[in-house]
Amino acid sequence: MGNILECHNLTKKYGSKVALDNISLSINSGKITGLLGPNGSGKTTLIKIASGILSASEGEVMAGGNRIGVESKKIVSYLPERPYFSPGMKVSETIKFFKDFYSDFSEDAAAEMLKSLEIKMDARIRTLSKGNREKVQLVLVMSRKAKLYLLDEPMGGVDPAARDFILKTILMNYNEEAGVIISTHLISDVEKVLDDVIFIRNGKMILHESVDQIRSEKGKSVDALFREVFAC
Amino acid sequence: MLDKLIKYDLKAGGRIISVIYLFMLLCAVFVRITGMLSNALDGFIGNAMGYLWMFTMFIMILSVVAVCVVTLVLILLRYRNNLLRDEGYLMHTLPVSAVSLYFSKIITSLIFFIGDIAVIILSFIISGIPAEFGFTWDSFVKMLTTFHYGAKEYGVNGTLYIIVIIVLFIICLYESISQFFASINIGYSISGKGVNRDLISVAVYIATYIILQVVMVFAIFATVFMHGFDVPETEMLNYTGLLLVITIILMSVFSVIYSTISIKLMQKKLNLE
Amino acid sequence: MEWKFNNDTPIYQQIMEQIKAMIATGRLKAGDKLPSVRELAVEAGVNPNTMQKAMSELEREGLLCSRRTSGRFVAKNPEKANSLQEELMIECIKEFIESMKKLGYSAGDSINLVEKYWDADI
Repeated sequence: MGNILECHNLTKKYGSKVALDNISLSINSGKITGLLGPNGSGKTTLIKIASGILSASEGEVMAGGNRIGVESKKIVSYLPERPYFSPGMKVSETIKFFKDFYSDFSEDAAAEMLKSLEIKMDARIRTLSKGNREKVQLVLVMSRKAKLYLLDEPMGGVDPAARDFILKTILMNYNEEAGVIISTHLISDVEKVLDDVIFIRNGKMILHESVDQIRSEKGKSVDALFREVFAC
Repeated sequence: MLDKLIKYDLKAGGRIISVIYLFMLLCAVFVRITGMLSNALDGFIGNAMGYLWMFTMFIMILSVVAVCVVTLVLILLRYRNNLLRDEGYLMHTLPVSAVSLYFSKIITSLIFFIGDIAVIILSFIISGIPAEFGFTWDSFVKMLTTFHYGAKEYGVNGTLYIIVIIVLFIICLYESISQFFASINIGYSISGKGVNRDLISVAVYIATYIILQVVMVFAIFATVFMHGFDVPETEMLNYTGLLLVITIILMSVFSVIYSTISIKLMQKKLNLE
Repeated sequence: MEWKFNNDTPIYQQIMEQIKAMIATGRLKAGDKLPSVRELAVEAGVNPNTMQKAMSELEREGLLCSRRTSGRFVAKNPEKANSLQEELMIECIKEFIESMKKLGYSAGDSINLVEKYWDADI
């Protein structure tokens, strides 16, 4: 066990707008952490920086003990909100692609999961429904034995059965050497699966506690606490 | 990893390009056949073949243009879509450097353009058109040797001169591609609502084009000015050679500048939507 | 196994309660082998660490025992099982009594109602 993600005084500015304000946190491996906050709070910005898509304005971010860069990308598995495969690619080609670039990718695990979802290997991405497209991406991301999984709103716009599948996949792939960060605003679905939660508002981290702590100390669910804290 | 990136980039463009190559080669074959038939036959069929020959030759010329245009469009679209739009989420989280991503695109673009030239030349040869106009392999070789000996008389190494021209051609190709890419990168580094980043890229490209022309004219004038306007015939080859070298240097500088801009923007200011 | 969770108390406590109930009602018998923590976590849809915590606590309380290579088992502890059953029964009765008091019934009324409805199909 060690630190799978560390941020020291992380700040991200877009011109005069501050998206992340002096965030310092560390997340241990073996934990499933929820990154919770309203839209525009900075959760996606934080995840994008950790995955290497965005660079910090100030401060330092380390993933798996590496500064964000080629080395950290080897051990970080990122699921963005967007579809990121070329629509003309076949599902089998996406598997080959991941296999080519990621040494920790398990082709068999991916194939098995896709089979249980009844998604055909030679189907082209553009012919799949939105839900299936997202499932393919999730399957590929979770079929890597990464040290840090960054899931950006994995359950937005997806039906409840699919949400269950996503949570089940996350649980089945859990291992103590890895950390999972899920950013979401669908908290009640996800709460049972989380070890810890981080509340973010306006780019500032306002809470980082374990779910058990919140429930026993505050006597309410994380969902309820969230509604309180972020009441408009 | 660079080789893997190149493999995927080649595959992505290769499908479409090879279809057009095939089309062009087929046109060339048709031109050749109709040409031979119209020469061999007389009368109505011979004449008809003659008209067909001209028609297919026209189509072939069009396809030459098509190849160039399609290649350029393909390269630019692929660069933009793969690195600066949704696919960028995949590409920029791969364990590869931005430098590798960039050069994979550049190298495959160069391969496609050089491939275009090779296939165009091949098509022309197959079609027999050069022969119609008196260009045979022999005449080509003769032209080269004449040039070589002629150059020698002026104290200029003919082969070196040809090599300089080829190098210039490749550098110009690189510079053009990197200029396009940099314009796209600059356009796409702007963020904001209602901002059309493609339009900005086009505007940036026009600006870089103007800059390039201005600098080139300036450089050539400067050289001419420094050397004086009276250039004896014996010095002409050397003189133009000098201009070629200066162009190579300038193009190289621009290439480095544009490549650096592209890479730095992707490393620091990646703004995927 | 059917798992039901509410949102206000820590999940590991709820897991412990539900396992205790299963032992008390005999759904889990002494010597029964439990699935792995990961399997249970996936089945229940909860965080594996949470499941682990519940299991460890139950072990500590003597209701489960684990053998290094063979896994977790329900402890062979008849007194424990009995006292569990008693615990659970007392919990049920306490809840019932509280509900009846809230509705304004006396002890006598409540007992009569229980007898009346004991054999009815609920």
